[in-house]
Amino acid sequence: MCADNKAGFGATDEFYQIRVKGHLGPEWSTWFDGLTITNEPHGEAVLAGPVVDQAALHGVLAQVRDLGLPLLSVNRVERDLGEDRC
Amino acid sequence: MVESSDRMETGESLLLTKLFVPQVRPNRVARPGLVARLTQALSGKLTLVSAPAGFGKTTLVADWLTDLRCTIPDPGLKADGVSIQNRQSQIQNRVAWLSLDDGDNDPNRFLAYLAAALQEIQSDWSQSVQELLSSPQPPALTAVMAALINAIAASDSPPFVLVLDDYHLISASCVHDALSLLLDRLPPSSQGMHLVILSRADPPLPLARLRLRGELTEIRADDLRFTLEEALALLNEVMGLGLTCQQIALLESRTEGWVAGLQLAGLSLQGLPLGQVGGFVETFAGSHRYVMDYLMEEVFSRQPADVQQFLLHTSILDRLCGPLCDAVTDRDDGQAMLEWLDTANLFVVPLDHERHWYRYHHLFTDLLHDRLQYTQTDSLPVLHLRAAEWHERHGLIADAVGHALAAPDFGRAAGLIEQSAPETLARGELGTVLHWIESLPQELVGSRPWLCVYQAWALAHTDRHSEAEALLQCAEQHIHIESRGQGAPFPSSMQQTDAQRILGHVAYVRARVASVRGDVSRAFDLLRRARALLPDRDLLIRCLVAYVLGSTHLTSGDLTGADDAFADAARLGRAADNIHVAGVALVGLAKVRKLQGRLREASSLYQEAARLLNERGRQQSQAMGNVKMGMGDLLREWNDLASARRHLVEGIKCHQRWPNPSSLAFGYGILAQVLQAQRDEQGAFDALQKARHLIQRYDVYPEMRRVVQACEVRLWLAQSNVGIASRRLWESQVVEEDMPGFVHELDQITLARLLIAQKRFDEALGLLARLAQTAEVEERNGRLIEILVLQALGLQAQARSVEAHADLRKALALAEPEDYVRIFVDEGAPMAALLRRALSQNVAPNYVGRLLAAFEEPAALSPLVEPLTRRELEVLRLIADGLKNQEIADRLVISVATVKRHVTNIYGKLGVGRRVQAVARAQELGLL
Repeated sequence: MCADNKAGFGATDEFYQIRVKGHLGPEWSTWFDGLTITNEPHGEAVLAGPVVDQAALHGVLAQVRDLGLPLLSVNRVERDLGEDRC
Repeated sequence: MVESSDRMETGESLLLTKLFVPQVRPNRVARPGLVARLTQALSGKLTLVSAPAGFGKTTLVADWLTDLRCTIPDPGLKADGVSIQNRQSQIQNRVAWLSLDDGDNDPNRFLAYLAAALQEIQSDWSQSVQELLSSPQPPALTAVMAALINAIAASDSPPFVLVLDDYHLISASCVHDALSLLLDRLPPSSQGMHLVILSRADPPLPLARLRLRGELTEIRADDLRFTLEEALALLNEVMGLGLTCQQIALLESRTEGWVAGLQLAGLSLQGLPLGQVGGFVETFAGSHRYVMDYLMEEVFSRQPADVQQFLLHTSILDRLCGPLCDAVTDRDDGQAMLEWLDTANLFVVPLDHERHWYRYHHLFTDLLHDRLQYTQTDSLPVLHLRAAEWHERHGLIADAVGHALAAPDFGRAAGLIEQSAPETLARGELGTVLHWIESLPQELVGSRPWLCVYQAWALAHTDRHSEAEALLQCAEQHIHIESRGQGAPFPSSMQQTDAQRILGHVAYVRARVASVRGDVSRAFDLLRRARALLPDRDLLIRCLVAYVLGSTHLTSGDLTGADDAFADAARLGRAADNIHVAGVALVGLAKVRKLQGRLREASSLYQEAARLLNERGRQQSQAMGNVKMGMGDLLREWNDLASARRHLVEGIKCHQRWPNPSSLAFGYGILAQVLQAQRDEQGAFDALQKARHLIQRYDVYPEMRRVVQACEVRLWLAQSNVGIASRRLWESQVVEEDMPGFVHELDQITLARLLIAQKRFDEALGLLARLAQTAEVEERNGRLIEILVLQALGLQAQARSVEAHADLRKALALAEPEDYVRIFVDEGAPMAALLRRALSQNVAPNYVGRLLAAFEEPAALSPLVEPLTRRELEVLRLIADGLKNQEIADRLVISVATVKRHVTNIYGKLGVGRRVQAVARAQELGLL
């Protein structure tokens, strides 16, 4: 699956997957500023996408916290450079 | 439309809403188990309620506080041997609540609100904090915190509770540090303050340490989850639904006891026809959708369209009131809507008793706002602009700025910031101003010189000097470029005074940087430039500039300059309502007068300062402390030793809470002189020890150090201990060859005194001659009299009587109009002899007669014939702390009979009959 090729996706951006408990509708992408939302079968959702730096990552985590969404895991994903060409 | 007459009122009430203790709804689910835990927690220092949004933290704590207020002490309630019920019943209404927000990351704003919250408990804490924050050199946050802690610990106030809500919004490490300090230094849990912190995340405070010591109680998400019974109470009893046990179990399990979820579920169900209830519960329970998402959709979509619009549009507001909502929604039903939402319990929270201000529950706001962004992005700028306009019209500039930035309408935001930066900076809220300006595009800031100036000001005061300088140059360039293009000294697009004001501010900020870097002469030049440029309008900054200039002039001995500047600062301080600066400026002026030998004028100035400070309720302030000490010095000179001592002791007391080492060192030094005059040598040395201790530990002003040193040398010489006296001077490297002039004058006078004691008369007289010349030319009569006195003594010792008497006559002529006494009497027998000779020659007979009588006077308060033993002193101190005999016996591990014996002896030695008298007498004698 390709990440959306957002404008400004620089080489320095890290790619994260944040897993939370509970499905979310599409309008939540505005809340999570550009991350894609994938609802998975067992009542979990994955927010995925590029995150500029550590401060931005903590910002996203704070938003998850402020919603009361139970946070399950945070993973940094190694990208195969070939995947960028989507 | 709300009239401008509401401006002040709405401004005031905003501050109060942050301090408002939330009221409990009458029909909420009681949670007695948790409330009891909170009460038990009073035996520790900190209660932490840490759980994500929507778990009912605020409601629980509010509920508990109501419970505290109505508590009748239960004699059976004890924990760890400490009587909780005592503490509980004492607390009652002694609750301070502070709802934190993002802006409280500015440490001075945090502190101001904290002090305001504590105002309810003890009013003078708030005042002292405000005074510190508005002084020319505001201290660091930790210093003010430390002083506040001491004030809390020292006061006898009964226990109280401080609640900090929404602590997760604090990210500034200085605020965390300050609170860590607070928790560390809090007195034992049986007295003083208990802190309650509510947060969505564990705060970075030393929790582990507190946990280990049993000082921490935690209430976490799992504790807050609603049990089945509680869910039943909420849904069926409070919300009036008629659900079956099985249905409640399903809901409770799906929401996992999350009360916000349960409430929303209840709200969704309330709107449903009875037949659909079962289906709803099943579908909901079976869904994987995030609870909030699912239920918000339900509740929201079931509202009529106009309610939906209202909710969405007002979601941009942090706080809501009827008129504000009307302005933003462009309707007229704001107040009615809010009241309806309140009654329907739709997540609206009142912020005051009058039901004027509300806010949405945080979770609700966030979800609504997100929905608004998703569905109506284009309307956001308009809504924010309407909000900005309303807030501006009502004088709530900080909020107006926030909305203007959010719109975004940077031009408008810039204008608002320029408007309110001066008073925000004056309150010491540098962080706030920095944050605002840093939210603007750089080019915009660069094009508006005032923004450059304010940003530079804030940066300079937070030690970011090079950044500040870059901005100052930008501001200057702006003026010069414009003016160059128009061939006039100042651009016509700007009033001349405006350009001048900008340059004046630039000079002031540069002066600040220079002075922090220790470049005194550059700072001086810049301050004078600032003073010349700034018009009357800029009251506050002119007042600060004048005061700093006055101090600088005084340090370098330019009495005329100091006179002028201090008088200006006093006048401006009064006009700018900065009482602290007005007070210390008057003190500065009085010191100038004393140096000029004009004691009566100095006295009037002190009295004027005292009146001013008293009028404004500043009796215990630092400024008052300085007034009392200065007055004490004058009274000492006039030989009213008992009054002098009283003033000095009171002055020193004013500094106990917020110690200023320089002022305290001065106070102890002069006190030592008074005690010496009263022939209480031990007392004098004790006071001197305290002064020396301060000098060793802290960075005391040089002039104060010199005063203390002069006192010390006098004391040693009076005991004929020339050796120690000379070693002291040697240690401080006073040199005869130092340039003449004010800076080293006092040191050299002290040196001359020593030389005379060492019988090195020629050297002494040579030095004194030079000193006399300078003092006379620079009109420092106060010093000149002392110099002439020493000269007379030195000459007499060389049998040069005629010259000696010439000098003495000169001194007497200067001294008589101002009633100097001690400056002669302190010199002892040799001076007495000289004066008797002068009397026989009919020189100023009345005056000299009075002086001679002063030599024979017994000390106003004779010291103890038989001093107290060490043990007796220990007992006396414990008596002063309010301990009974049994408690003293326990503390000192002796029998009560022994204690009673000590007490009898103490009474005998002090010549009193009761504990209260013993304490008072001991204080008078400086034993305590």
